[in-house]
Amino acid sequence: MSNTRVIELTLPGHVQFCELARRVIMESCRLLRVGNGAEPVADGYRSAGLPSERYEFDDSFTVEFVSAFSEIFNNIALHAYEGAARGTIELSIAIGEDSLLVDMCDTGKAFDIDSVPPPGELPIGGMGIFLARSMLDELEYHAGSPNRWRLVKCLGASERDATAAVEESAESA
Amino acid sequence: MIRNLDEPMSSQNFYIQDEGAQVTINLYGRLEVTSVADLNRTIDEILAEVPRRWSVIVANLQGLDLIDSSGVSSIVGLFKRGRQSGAQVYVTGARGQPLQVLRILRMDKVFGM
Repeated sequence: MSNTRVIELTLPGHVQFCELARRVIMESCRLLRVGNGAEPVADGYRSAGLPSERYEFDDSFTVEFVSAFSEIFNNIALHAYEGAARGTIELSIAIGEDSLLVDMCDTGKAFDIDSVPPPGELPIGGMGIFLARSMLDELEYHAGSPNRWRLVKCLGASERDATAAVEESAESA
Repeated sequence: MIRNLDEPMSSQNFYIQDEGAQVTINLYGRLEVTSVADLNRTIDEILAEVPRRWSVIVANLQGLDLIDSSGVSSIVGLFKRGRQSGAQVYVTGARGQPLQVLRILRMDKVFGM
């Protein structure tokens, strides 16, 4: 039986809404790592004692997924919608047993993702897609109406072991 | 005309320390597309005073929690343009997510981290 939990969200396609979406992604990362309600050894992020705008990540999975997601969200806002908030971004976040999958749809301007070259030394631009690809297990883009993005990342072996240890600890308590 | 840097200047994401021939940009919090405009403006102002006023520029990332590709572009722009202007430019103190991003982009070695 699948334990996948799905969150669906529609946001204005503007960079100002990236922070809101990012907070949902961070919480999704935390839920993935925690499993079925067990408390984690360490939160995916901490906010206690920090100003609300501060981030303090404790795990590489959350760092990488949040960073990659932010690049794609802002890519849509800045390039597909050309910074004018002319449409929405539909998010579907699927929290699986050992992976996080995010589908993003927009109705903005399409582009050829294969035409984006990898950044050279000390690039001024063109880093977002490269960063997202580097930090995810899968990054798919299909131009169309709507344009569709898929971001996938699986928990690494060490993170799965840590989550399993937490669950075993909770079960034996 | 550069703003008065003789007094500490602050914004949401950075503050400037004028230390004689050295100027330090201390970054903290998030540096991303929604917040780079102020930094880019200040970088322009600082570079306009190189080398007459400053010969060393330090970008201190110690307090930075999160950076995106726009923020990296600002840092790279400072590094490149500062050196072209004849200044010594140092990018220091990256940790956590910003260090990871710089490593993926292979900039950690360029910056001597």
